[in-house]
Amino acid sequence: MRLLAIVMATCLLVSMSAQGAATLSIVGSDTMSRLVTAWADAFRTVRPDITIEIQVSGSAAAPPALTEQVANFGVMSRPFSETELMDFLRRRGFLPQGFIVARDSLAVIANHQNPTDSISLEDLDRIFSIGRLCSGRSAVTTWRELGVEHGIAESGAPLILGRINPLGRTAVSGSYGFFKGNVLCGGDFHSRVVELPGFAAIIRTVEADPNAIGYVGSSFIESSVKVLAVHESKKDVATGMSGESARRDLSPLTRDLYLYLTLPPGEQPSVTECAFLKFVASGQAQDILTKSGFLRGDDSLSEGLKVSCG
Amino acid sequence: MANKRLIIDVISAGMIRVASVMILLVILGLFAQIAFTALPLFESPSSSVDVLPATRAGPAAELKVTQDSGANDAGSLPGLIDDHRLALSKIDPAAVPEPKRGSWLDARDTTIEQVHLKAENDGLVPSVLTRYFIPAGIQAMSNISLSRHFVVLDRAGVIHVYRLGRSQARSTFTEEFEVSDINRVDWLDESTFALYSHEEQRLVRSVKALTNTLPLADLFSFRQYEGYPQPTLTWQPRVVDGAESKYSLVPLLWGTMSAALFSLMLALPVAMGAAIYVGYYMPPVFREAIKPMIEMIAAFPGVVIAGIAMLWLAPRLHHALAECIGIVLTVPIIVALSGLFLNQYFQTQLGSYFSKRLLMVVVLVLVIAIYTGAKLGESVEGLFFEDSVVLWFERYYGLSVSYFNGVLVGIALGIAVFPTIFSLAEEAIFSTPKGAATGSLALGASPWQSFIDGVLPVAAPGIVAAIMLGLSRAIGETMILLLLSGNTPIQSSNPLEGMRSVAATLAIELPEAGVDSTHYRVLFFSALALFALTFLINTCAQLLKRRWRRRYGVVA
Repeated sequence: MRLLAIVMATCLLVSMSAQGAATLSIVGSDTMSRLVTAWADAFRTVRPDITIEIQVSGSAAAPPALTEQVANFGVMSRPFSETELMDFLRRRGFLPQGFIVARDSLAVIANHQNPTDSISLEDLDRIFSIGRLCSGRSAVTTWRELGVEHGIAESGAPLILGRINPLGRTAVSGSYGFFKGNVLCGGDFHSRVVELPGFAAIIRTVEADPNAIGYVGSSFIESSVKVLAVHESKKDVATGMSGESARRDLSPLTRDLYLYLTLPPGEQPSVTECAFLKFVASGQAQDILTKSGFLRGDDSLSEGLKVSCG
Repeated sequence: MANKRLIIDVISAGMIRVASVMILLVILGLFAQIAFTALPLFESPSSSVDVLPATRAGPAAELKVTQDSGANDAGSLPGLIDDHRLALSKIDPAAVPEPKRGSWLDARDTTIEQVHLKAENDGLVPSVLTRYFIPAGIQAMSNISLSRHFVVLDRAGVIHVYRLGRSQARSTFTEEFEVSDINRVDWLDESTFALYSHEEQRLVRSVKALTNTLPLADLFSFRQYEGYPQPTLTWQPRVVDGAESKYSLVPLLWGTMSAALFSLMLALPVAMGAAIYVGYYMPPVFREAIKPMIEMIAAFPGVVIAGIAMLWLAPRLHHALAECIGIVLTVPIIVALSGLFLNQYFQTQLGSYFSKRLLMVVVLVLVIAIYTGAKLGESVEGLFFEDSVVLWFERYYGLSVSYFNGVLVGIALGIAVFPTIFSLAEEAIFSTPKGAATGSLALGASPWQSFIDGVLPVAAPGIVAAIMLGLSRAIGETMILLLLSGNTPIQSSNPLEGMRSVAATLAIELPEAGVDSTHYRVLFFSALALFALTFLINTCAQLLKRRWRRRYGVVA
């Protein structure tokens, strides 16, 4: 009997405390996971009374979560697609609001034993695509066709490079769609392009395989892999994607990262939501953003805040 | 007292019955749910045209309005609404509305046309050009929707809905209205279009057509897609709006089955060998210690095995392929040979205790075998394969070796499947009546002869069940395939290539598929197809089991 009482009291306590604390949930892009986690950590020190739940599996997870009202914010590495907008509209009767809160670029990476330093967008299309809508030239399957045959193993011995092992993300990822749209000109991925469930998995594989080439969000780059400079075509001078310059706006693979919220027309965001939005627009959050390897977004959020949160 | 016991008996028996019926109902319900989700996929689009009254501001009309007012969000949604919309790019000038009886409509994808121009010299396929014949002549037509459908209203008042490209989905729908009034057809959303009248651009009707259907043949046969050199079996759902989805289940089913096969090729000999030794030769005292240890492996989650294989095994397998092949080929031979010479250590007497040196000898033999295998592989590679088996195969046979490949999947999946097969097979062998073996031994047969002729026939149904259960686990396993197969939807019987399984595809794509979209239904259908496949295999196994049971007249 006493045990039962204790259990019931605990349950009551837990449920009360759960009611008392405000919770914000964020769902979406794997690309933005580090940024959102860093923001949430910093936000916790500012507002310890607000709990933030983060679930990052891929951009495609955000629209359903916002439509079903199970998340306060959606973070996406691409805007809503038209189909997703239609679905949202049909269910809720209005459009979600999106703000460009950050930008990042996709970096193309290769193994350190591979002597390649730069690659053209055209060659990327020839490696990754089946129809080659952008380049229209013949497909490339081996490193030799790109003019690279010998790598240098860690021991210093020469290493023969073979077939290119192209690595990409799974179709839930916004990066998959971005790469498809911007590098493959909307064409299809070759069926031999490996689909891995995370950027970390791509990096681990590139680390181990001298024949691998893959794309990752610039904030994920590690020193264990080599970032290739990406240039528009063969003749162009490499516009530099290596190291710091990957974060400049020069890269042809820069994209906008969005924070979405759902606000029925005429309503204001809740106090908790406003607190987080204000934090995202603050200088502290912008510092975190640059530190974790992203570029600043535009001013749409801070302007929107003036209207809705005062 | 006895009465009380009786009541408990009755109650518990009733509860057990209720529970089993409920479980059955839940399973049936789940199955029905999957079937009802998947099967509308094949509905004929013509039977499902659904008219919404034009006067009512249905959801379609609402959408239209908000689409236009979407401009206030323009900053956050750059150019979304109209950028991807394709247009019928080519209408044969001779065939457009004029002729009284019939017109040809040539539809061509704009994107492909561009490629065609770009790549003319490169021998790329010209764009897929689809001809549609409209016998009554064209009154009005829409542009191409995001799901690549377009609507043609002919002069007889018949509405045709076509899908551009691979198949001619065609839904005809006759309605009594003044055709001459109508001059514009437009999509309101992916599945609804509207007919507008001549003068004041009035909306006459909005029609909901089921565009999320697919002919069954699309899932299983070769299809010519735009931009592809020849008809292919391809899996690549649309993620960019306006692109053509390719839903061929063949590479996925192939991938699932080949992964299961590779894993069984590895797990089966090991599991059976272990099961025979533990269940037949080993004294029960040791069996009780060793069996739970092996079954512990079953407690390893797939993701743990997959993670270890991905980070540790994959790079090693890739760099030392020849050594690995050498080990796989050499170890069984050396172990068998050593059995010949070290017979006194490898006790093969039924239920005899280990010789004290057994463990030492076994470990020693294994170490020697692995080392020899690796060295042998290395030197053979150096002598005959120009120092690299991978490059040699690529150069002379065009065989490609992927980083994520069937061997890797087979090893990881084999480890996951092994304890299941072992456990059940061992149980079947151990629980055969002891008389079968001992009687045979008493008549002078060797232990192995007694096993083959006395124990195995009785245990066979149980062993078949064990293999089936292992196969089911291999087919259903998700994480190992997701992380190690590379998810490349290619069909190849080369075990050094990757694959993509149905289960991994479901895990990747189900979260992003819109509810009741074509993609969503195709995914559910793939689950159904997989179920049908396992069901077929299991049925065959059951028939086999029944036959054996009848022949040997035992209940195992």
